[in-house]
Amino acid sequence: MKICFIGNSHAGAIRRGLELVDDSLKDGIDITFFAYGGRGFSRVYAEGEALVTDNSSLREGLRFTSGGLESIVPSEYDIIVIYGLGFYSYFPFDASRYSDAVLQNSCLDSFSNSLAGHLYREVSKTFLTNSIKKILACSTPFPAKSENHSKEEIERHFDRSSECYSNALRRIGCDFFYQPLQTLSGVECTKESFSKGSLKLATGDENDDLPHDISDKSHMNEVFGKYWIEHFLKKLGSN
Amino acid sequence: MNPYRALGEYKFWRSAIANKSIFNIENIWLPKFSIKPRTRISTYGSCFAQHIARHFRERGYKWVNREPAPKTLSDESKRRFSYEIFSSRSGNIYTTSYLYQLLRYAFQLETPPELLWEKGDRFYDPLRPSIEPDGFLSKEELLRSREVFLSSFRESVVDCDVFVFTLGLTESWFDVSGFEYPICPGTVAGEFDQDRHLFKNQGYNSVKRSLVDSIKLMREHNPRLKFLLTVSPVPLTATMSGHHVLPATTYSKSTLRAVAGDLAESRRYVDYFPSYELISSAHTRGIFYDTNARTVVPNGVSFVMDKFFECLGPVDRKGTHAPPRVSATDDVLCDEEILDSFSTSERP
Repeated sequence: MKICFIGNSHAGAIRRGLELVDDSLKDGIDITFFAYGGRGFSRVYAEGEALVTDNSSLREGLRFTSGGLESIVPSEYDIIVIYGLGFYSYFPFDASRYSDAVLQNSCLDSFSNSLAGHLYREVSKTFLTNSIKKILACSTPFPAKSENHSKEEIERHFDRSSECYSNALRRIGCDFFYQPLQTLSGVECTKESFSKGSLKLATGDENDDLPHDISDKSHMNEVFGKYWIEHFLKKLGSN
Repeated sequence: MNPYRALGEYKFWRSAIANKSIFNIENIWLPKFSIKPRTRISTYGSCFAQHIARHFRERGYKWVNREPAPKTLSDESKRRFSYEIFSSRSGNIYTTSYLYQLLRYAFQLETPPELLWEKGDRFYDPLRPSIEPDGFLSKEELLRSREVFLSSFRESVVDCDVFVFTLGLTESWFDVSGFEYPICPGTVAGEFDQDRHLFKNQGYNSVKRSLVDSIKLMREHNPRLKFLLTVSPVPLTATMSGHHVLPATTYSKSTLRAVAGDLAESRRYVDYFPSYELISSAHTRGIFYDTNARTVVPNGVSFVMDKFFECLGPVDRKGTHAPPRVSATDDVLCDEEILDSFSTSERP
């Protein structure tokens, strides 16, 4: 199975995590990463069947992270994973205050108005024939901190929000993949241990693999990445 | 010698209006009480009240929002679902009697009727028919949303310092049970039933009584609450009064203006801001209206709001006088405008 994994700086942890995953789990899986930090992917657009960019720095980043490719041809893959890119799966804790229509629109807006939404639209444009591929939207990990929520509250919120995001994104032909429940320390926060010692995404510049600032709680480490990708591959296998 | 000799120049039409550019009119409003950026302000009323809310918000004033949208809902979706338009998700409140009815529900003096409208498999709330453009999923969802709204509405009254209300209409629709609809049934949602739905064009006494009762009830729960009244300068879209829409508009606006003026004259905690006059008086020669002579153009709204903040005087917080960007697409949500679609001249 060929997987195209497109993401921003948060994809660094996943890429490192993949190296730690047992080979048996990766058997038959071929993942190509295309990653670039910040809002770089806003300079990517569809041209025929490919996603291209007119930005030389981004093009270099794509080439570096993918191992030599300067453009992305989504139709060459079985699954397109859009990871992070400003997409956060925030969901109201007091969801009962809102109608289902409002909640679904808020989920859809969160995705559509992010860089991930832009990329999704551009990817969709490249499907010129009927070869519609599976597109998976994966939200950015919640910041690492601790919150006073009970296990039951976290689980209830997780179930409700993942269901709502899944339903909302399905309306536009996209699947949703939530941050694994076991990585959460609160309804919208990641266990603090997962952000300790996180390293910067390597894109071929002088910042490659440098540690994130100690105050950075938004980027995760390779342990998180390993956990995430294992969870992802198992889900993929079960589907 | 006569008493007119001692009057300031802004008391004379020639010096205050005729000899001035409309943009240089001064002292149009002398506020009775101060409104500062830290003053908590709730806003409700007709379509025009939406502009007031937006300007308070964008100029850094503490606009009360007791029914916030989910944080990821886009601005476009917020508008569609009527969030951040009024201080809770009330929809337009056109009449003073409807305001009083909502207050009685919110403060649990009365229970709202079980009434709801079904269309296909969706449900519409007669209290707020346009709040969910595609209706609610179920009766339970509708009633839960109504409950959230009524408690948010109550909180927005209790937790504010100034309640701004824009009076919009005298024409109103009632159910035979006594329940008042926010707009004629069968327009935004529901089915019109001539045996059940009754038209009433409210007169001065009725409008005033409802507003006095509303103010009294709000002050019972928030004794220090002050009120700022305005009258919408937007003419009627349509009238059921039996009269031509032009005199019907004049009747409606005159009645509302008289009530607002009388309450402001007789109560120290009630003030009136003349947005109606600034937009609609003869001196403006209609420049603040769009080509339909009804819709107030964005520059007209900005002009009124600039005057409003100018009259409030200097403020003690940086940036609060910076007016928001004027946008040609800055429309307001106005349920009443749907009546225009029933005009015979528009029918094919």
